[in-house]
Amino acid sequence: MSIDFNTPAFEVIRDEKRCIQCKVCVQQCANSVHAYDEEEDIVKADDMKCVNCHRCVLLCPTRALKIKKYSLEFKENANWTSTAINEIYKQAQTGGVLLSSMGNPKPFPIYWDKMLLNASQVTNPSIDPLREPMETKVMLGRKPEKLEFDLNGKLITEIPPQLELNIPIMFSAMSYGSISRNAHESLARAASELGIFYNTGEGGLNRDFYKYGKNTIVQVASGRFGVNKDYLNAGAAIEIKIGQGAKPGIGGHLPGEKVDEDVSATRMIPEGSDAISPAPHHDIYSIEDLRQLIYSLKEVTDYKKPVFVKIAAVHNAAAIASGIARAGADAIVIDGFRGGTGAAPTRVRDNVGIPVELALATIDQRLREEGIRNQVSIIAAGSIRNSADIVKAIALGADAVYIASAAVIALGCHMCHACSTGKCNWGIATQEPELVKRLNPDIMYKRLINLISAWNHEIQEILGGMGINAIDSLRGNRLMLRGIDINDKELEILGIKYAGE
Amino acid sequence: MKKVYAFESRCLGCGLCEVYCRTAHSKSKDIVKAHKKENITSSIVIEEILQPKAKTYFALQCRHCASPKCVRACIAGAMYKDENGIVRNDKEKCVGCLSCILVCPYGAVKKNKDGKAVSKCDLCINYGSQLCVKNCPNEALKLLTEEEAEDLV
Amino acid sequence: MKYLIIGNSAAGINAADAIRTLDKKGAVTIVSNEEFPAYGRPLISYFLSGKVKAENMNYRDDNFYSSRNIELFLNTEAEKVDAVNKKVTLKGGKKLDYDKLLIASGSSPFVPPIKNLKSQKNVFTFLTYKDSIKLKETIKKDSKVIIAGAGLIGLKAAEGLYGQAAKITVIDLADRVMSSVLDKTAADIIENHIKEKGIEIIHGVSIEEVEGKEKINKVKFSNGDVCGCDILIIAIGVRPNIKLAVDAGIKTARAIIVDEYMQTSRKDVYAAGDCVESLDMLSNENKVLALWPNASAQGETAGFNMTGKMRKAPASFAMNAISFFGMQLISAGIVNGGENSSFCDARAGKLRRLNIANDNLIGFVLINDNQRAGIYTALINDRTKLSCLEYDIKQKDIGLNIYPKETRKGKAWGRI
Repeated sequence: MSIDFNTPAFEVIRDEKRCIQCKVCVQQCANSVHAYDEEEDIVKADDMKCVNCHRCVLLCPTRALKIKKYSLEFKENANWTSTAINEIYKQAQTGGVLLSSMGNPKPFPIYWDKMLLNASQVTNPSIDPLREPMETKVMLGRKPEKLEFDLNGKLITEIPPQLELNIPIMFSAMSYGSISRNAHESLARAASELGIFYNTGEGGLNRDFYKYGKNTIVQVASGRFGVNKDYLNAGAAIEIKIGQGAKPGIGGHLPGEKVDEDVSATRMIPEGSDAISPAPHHDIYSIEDLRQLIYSLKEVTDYKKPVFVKIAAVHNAAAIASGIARAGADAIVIDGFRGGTGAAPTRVRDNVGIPVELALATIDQRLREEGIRNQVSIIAAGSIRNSADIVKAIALGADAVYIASAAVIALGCHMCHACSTGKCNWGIATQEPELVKRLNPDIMYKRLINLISAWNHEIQEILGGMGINAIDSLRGNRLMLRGIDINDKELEILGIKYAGE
Repeated sequence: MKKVYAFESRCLGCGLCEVYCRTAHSKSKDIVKAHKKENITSSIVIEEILQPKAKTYFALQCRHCASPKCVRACIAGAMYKDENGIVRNDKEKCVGCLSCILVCPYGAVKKNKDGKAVSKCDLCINYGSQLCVKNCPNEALKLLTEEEAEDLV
Repeated sequence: MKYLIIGNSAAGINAADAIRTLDKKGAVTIVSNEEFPAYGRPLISYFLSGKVKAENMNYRDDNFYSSRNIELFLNTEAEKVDAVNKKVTLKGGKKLDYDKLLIASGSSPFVPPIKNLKSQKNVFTFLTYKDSIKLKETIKKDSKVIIAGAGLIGLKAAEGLYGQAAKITVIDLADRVMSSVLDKTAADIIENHIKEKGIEIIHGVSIEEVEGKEKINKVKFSNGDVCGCDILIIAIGVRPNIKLAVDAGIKTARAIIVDEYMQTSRKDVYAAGDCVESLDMLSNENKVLALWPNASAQGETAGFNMTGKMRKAPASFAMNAISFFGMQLISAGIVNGGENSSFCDARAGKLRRLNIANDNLIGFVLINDNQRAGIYTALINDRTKLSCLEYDIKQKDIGLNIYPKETRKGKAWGRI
């Protein structure tokens, strides 16, 4: 046994004057941070195990607990930060790849915050959404080049399959396995009630959830877990996942500990086995190959369901998107590098990919220039944090957005970044029945509905302010955006003017 | 009548219902004082259910039986069913003989720590609202009529 | 409808209460030979010790009789039941008509023939509030007390007097205390605990004779020992009060015989409580189960049935919950016999003894280990097959989690 260089990241502070030794914290911490000492009649904490999930803090009935950053300072150094040093200690000890959860935490520019929205004054007066109609409905899917009618005025153009969203927000892919059954149930029920969609992720769809199929997007990823004919037909649309923003170039990885009986049945893999998705789809090496898969999926679902293709935002996203449109996809999902995940190699998470704002702007621009923008819808994903982000995304060219981190935060996620341990104290990223139970779908689906409804109200307010009464009129309307605190190149890529211009 | 129903599939066994039960039945009605200065026994029993894979729990309170065995067994006339159907224990009269504990088929009556009397759920009749229901972090405890409870299953 | 109840304790009061819940109009009359409104009879030892004050002796609230419109005759002996003409003659000649009669006359202390005992002034029994009051008035700091009988009543009397007398001696013929309720192991734990307080307990002796004129001053035991005595309490046992029933031609054995609806052999005459024999579900024999919960349940049943219902009395078996100087004892069913498993921690004064026969729990004794004893009682009462349960009751603390899922859910929700 040699010296352990790791130090606690957090410190649990207990106010002894308030602690009543009720042991709720002891019972609730899945990381065994708290322990009751019968002899001393006190509750003690092992800081080393604390991930700062706040479960104990919020359940403590006397508010006796606080969690603080562990105050162990290295000599100040802008280059060799404590994180950089501690990561080396960890790797020197384990020899392993560093794993992290959720999205890129590094201080890269967030372009949503560098764009400002317009509002009407005097001319083209603003609209009050509480008094006048305001349309937030969008249709996702390929739109025909033109519409033809017969002599009686009846539409004769065949309209490709469309997804109708009451609000341009969907819950993006989180597999059953990476998140719990109760989390899935909450998402599914909320999507059904809101008239939007949630995405199964790559873990298949539990039979019990087929009843939410009308509001479900089923995913086909490189591991093809849980994919079969029933599954493909169970949803309203199919999404081919090529890549994800949190870890471009890497497949999903679900540790065997999370593969319990139910997950194993849903994924169609043995219980307890790691579910490791290959980095690429082994049958896709070209746009033509992708087209084959798209049409195979259309074939199996009788051309009734739109097929999405999801890619991570990377350097030449625009060209790839053009190829995807031409391969026959009905929608492109572009996932930025701040997107969350259950587990990703830290270096990949923090260094690979580009911001979704830039990718989205270039893709929209490119497809317009090529005259094929009508052939696909664009869905922006990767750390949409609020309704303003959504309005900006749509003004940059998105048809709708996907949210996942925001959705799990609504479900109680406290962004402790410990999803990969499988011991999520909030019952989200875990399969342990005792922990899953903590997420009560009866409570949580309402919170999701609250969140989306609140955002919808805000979107309507902002649209009204711009003098726009339908979200369709905002799409790609970059005149509504102005940049601030960014350079000319960034303005050019975003296709917007500087504030004041 | 309405009583507290526990939903096993939602109960986390966290013990907060016990904390608030003690608080509701304290003199001070202050969580910290109730626990540090008063010696109160909660009227809730949290049971662990042994399962092959994981522990589950449920919280149990007095069922306020239509024909309560505890009332019949009480030697002191301390246990009674009030006009609302709530089975209550008059601590002034209770001598702690434990006859009620002997006959309660649910094991829902507890001996007080001081040994002088017993504690049981009185639906917080003197408090105004059922603190256990109000403070259950997972809505595992609900105040319902029997019909409402059955409907929720 | 005229309801008449003879007896004003657990059975009588619960009968009157049950009648009133179903029949708001009928005339309900209770006749009692005692001078107090209904009191918690087992509380008399708590009164003696001072732990319970006079104002808390009442079994029901002060306006129990008036609010329910129940007529109460105190200090009134019922002398004769005429079951043919449906009349009860009271002492002094007054006659009461009835349509339905309940005999809940209870029991009386048994005082054996002891030489020279008659007309001694310092001899007491310990069954009524009055007994307790008289004892409390008589006892002095320097009194030497002898209690004949180490059963429940004798030991409770000893506890009640503790600290108020110079010396307390309890004698009993049996080899252990509470021999009808406890096995030897449990009895020893209780006995040691009581002895630690300075109370003397002598086994295998009875009282041969007493000495003294008008007041006993010495007691001679069957082993020849002679002991000074200022107060003698006879607590050897009780006998059901069945004279009224016998005289009325009602079928009796050791006590009044009733069917499962608490009806006697005579039409419209019911009986309940310590004066009846009831079926012990464990031995399948008729027994006098003189127990408070039993009397209450029987009284309630009789009351319901007197209004025309046909409700069966709950199954009964022996059960006791009692404490001595803080040591809590709970027992039920058959305490000797069956294949038994004991967990005994004598140092902590703890005992858990479970008696099992044919895959059924038939009895248990718990000392200072009693948080959820009612679940054991339910296992006996329901004749639950132990092999159908989730775990071995001998191995773990009892809880509703012993029941299989569906039963457990029903139980947790109050469906028995």
